[in-house]
Formats: sequence, structure tokens, C-alpha cells
Amino acid sequence: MDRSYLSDPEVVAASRKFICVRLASYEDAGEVDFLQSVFTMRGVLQNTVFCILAPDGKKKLVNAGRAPGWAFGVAEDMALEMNEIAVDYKPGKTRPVDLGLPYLKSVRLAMNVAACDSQRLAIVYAPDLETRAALEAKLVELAWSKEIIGRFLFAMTKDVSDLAKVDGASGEPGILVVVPGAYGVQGKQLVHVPVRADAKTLRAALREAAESDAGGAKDSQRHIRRARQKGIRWRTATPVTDNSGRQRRRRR
Amino acid sequence: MYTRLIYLLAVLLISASLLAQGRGPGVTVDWRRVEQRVAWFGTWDRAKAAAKRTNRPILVVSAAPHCNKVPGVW
Repeated sequence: MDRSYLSDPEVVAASRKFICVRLASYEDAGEVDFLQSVFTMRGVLQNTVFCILAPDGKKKLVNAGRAPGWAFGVAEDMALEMNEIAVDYKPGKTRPVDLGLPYLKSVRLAMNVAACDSQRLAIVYAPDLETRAALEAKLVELAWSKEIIGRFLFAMTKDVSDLAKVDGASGEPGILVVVPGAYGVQGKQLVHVPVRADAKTLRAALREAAESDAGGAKDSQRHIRRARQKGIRWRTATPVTDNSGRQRRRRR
Repeated sequence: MYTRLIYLLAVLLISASLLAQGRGPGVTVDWRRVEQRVAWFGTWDRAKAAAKRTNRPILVVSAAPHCNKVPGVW
């Protein structure tokens, strides 16, 4: 993934006028179909895809490709173009409830992605719909607030077994703030905010968690070597179709 | 010969770019140095519904959260 563009401050500022979606490439058959409709190379879905679409989710506003660099020379150009595109759509003032919570597909996937990003994960857990809705109503306002936006990933579950890999999780309904392990196959609960907690308590808990050390850079070669020593492997939900990395290694 | 020269040039350019960003090949962003991040939706269904409700354009990115079948790294 091209981090030099997507971590650029001007791109991040422009992104606040967009709906930004980052899909895990091989984790959902429906999303694979969608990504294939956006960009393929010789009909094959690539490991990474980049595009900007109109609000209808269909019309392409820039050339699609593997990464932002296919459409923009530098991050500054990307930010400029994004700001110009946003003017055309005049979204106006958006309420957090219109955005909803930007959940990942599952706790398992969210923990992995949070590890990739060295980021905190907020998990909404309650077996019943009514309690989950109450928790979400409190969380959604904070998730899009200036102090919290972009600082957490989010997941939701009604199944307590999804929390089995979270050290310290009691199984009580509430919002769990989790720090993922290096490989994202397990995590540790930093704080549990119970259902009865008010918005002020939740806000304080999220602020404290956001300000704690989120982890630094990763050396991917060392990361992979250590994971292999530990026997850690990731199984995707759909077949990995982009074998260009493997082919490059074979040619060496 | 030309292919090798072009390959060498490409490697040098990529390395220079990475070094200019303060990191070597294979080293990810040090997020402690990044004050603001993009707020990502994680599923297409939710993103599409939010775009429809708010009339915002959509920035679409996909990536695999594993490298050589190892999780925890893009």
C-alpha cells in the first residue's frame, strides 16, 4: 500500500471531505467483484487498487490503478485534485449519524488491520441488537469528532467467541479498546467501557487510549522472518490472484 | 545491457525516495510521527451507503493486510 501519499498531511486534510474506504483485498467475495469493476490488470485483481469515485460509487473521477502514484505525480497533486473534486459535490454539513461507524468486516480482520496500522481498535460488543445500538449511538459521535477521527479502527460483534483472542476481555457487553499484537492474531484489552457509561466517560477513555504509544515503524522483512519462526500464517477468505510478488522473487 | 541499466536506475530512484522519507526499503511509516490519519471505512457496503447519504465522493483503496501470508503488515 502506498503510504507516502496516504499519510501526507494535505491528503489527510482533503480526505475529510470524502468517504474513504480501504478494503482488504481478498477477504470478501462481493468486495472482490466490486474491486474488479474498478481496476484489474489483464482481468486479474491486483493486490492493491486505487481510485476516486463519485458518490454513486460507479463513476470514476480519476484514472484507476494500483496506487495513487498511477494518477498523481506527488501527494501534493493528489490533495489539490481531491479538494477540487470535493467542491463539485458540496456535501455540506454532515452529521456523524449519516456516516455511521466505519466498521471492518470482522473482529479477526480488524485486529490484523489494526496491527498493520499500529493503531488502536474499538470493538462494540453486545449479544443483543438494542444494546449494540445504544453503544453505537454514543460511539458514532466521538468517532467523527476532531479529537478522535482517524485515531481508531472499529469492529462490532454479537458473538463473545470473537473476543477469545483479546487478552483481558471479560465477555461483558460494552466497548473494548484493544491494542493489537504485532501480527494482529491476538490483542490486549486496554480498557472496557461498560454499557451504562456516559458519553463523557467514553470520550475520556478513547482520548487516553489514543494518546498512548501506538507503536512505531515495522521492518517488514524482520516481521515476516519472525512470523515464520513462530508459525504464524494468515488465511484469506478468497483466493489471492495477484502473484506478481511471488513471480518477482522466483526470477531473482 | 539497457534493461540492467534501467533496472539499476529504478532501484536507485526508489531507494532515494524511501530515504528521503526517512525510512529504508521494507520499513513502514512510523505512525508516532504522523499527527492525523485518514479515517477509513472498512467495508464497501457501509462506505457506499454513507456516500449516498452525504453526497461525498469516495476515495477507494484496497490492500492485503498480509505479506507472504504473514499478517500484521501491508
